[in-house]
Amino acid sequence: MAEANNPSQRLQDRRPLSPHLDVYKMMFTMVMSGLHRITGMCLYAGTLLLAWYFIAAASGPRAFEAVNWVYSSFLGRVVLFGFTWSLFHHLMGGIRHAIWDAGYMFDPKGRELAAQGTLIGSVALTVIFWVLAYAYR
Amino acid sequence: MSDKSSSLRSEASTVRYLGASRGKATQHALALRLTAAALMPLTILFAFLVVSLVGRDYDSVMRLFSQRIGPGTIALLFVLVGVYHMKAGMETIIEDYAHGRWKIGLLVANTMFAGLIAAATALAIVKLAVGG
Repeated sequence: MAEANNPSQRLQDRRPLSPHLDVYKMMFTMVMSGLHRITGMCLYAGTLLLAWYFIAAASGPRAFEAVNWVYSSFLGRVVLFGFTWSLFHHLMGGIRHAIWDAGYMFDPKGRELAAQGTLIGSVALTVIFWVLAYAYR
Repeated sequence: MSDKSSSLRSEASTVRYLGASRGKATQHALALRLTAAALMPLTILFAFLVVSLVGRDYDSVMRLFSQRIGPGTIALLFVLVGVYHMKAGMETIIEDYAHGRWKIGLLVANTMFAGLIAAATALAIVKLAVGG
């Protein structure tokens, strides 16, 4: 570490960095942790889709037809499917974090179970919601 | 580190407000968790709304959102609470990865994006509800 012997550098540049992703073996719980942040960022971008839909609907039939055509297309449905999966995955991840906040499931078995539950739960909820949506149409 | 013999400042006071979020950490963590709790039921309802809106025609969507209390209420609550949650979440991400000028710039951009999305979407939903 060179932080001590170069005082001319700004403090921010001299801060020691802890080893990051590249020193760890890839693990399932780690992937789930990353996915929580990634799905969060997808939902962040997804608010643009949401804003477009409601602004178009409030603007009138022509603007709505355009957005409805895009969202009803195959690619549009794939994106919306991914959006709802992100919603459910982030929701399940949130529940997992709430359990940790309460002090439970920190042991190897518990955190592995929580990670599996997050993934299985999010995929299951997404599929169930879309199947229901198509069944009751 | 403060030298106790030459300063009256407590050791805590020399490091307080120097963290990534400048002393807002507790409030920030609580805000994320409280909005997360509110979003748990809202997300389920909102996801149901999304899948039931796909392919729905204009007149049907107008009828759905013209109710004063109904799907529009869910959408409005989800957008307002969700945008607050996502703004706070993105702040954590920015504070993790960006430093110095980048951090300040991105935090400002994040706040502006969140405000714009919340205001524009909420206005549109309210307009549908009051039949503008």
